[in-house]
Amino acid sequence: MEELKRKSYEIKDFETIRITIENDKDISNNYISVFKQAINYIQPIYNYIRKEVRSFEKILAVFLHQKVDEIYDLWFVIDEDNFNLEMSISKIIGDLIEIFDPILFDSLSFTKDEIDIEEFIKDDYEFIFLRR
Amino acid sequence: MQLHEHRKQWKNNEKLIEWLQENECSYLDWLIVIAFYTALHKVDELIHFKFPDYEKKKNSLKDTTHHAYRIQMVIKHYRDLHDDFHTLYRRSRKLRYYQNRLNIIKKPELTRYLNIWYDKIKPRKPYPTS
Repeated sequence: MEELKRKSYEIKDFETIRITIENDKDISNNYISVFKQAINYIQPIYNYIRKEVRSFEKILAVFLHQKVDEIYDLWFVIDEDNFNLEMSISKIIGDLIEIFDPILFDSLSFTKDEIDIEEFIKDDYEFIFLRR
Repeated sequence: MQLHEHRKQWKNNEKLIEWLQENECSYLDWLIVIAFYTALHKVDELIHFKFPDYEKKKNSLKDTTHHAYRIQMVIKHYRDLHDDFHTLYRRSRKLRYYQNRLNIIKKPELTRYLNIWYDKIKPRKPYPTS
């Protein structure tokens, strides 16, 4: 609490805000992350994915593994290998590609036994959906 | 690649699938990978029919974007094939890049993936269903 108070006294004008952001790695990282999401128009895509995957109980998580050459590589974590679920994931991605054309997407899916979700959370991957 | 080259390639790949099955190949995961590349050449042939500049456009892009671009073209021109093709693609991608998990495919699963090729993609004619 004292620390927060001290910070609020320090921030008096734009210049002090700039300096505070510059010197505080957590604030600057969060700021950059929010800014990046805003300028990439990514939120509607993420919202769409969340809405679509929520009803599939065996989809445990979806996260952005990487974005390379303007391709969003989405990784799905599922409860167990299931062909019909894989087909449903393909349909979700197909609709996504159609709606958000010309953005390009790639995808992979793993079972919860094949990858450790917690490790990816710890490594700061961008989670779009996480079933708790 | 030209149209006829894609056709020749998927026919060759299909022969390989048949040969491996006749010889009771036990590396079932690789059969899925071959099935995907068989489907890929058939899909390239189909897209080429509807969009003759497809190869030119694809080759102007970075190699890393080719799969994503192809999938986008399948969506645009052969939406009815997409879900099957993408499912086969994702399985094949996982098998290729995460080879420490190879040899986990069982016969019933293999059959479902091979059926994508035999029942859905191979018979598809190069014109819209609607």
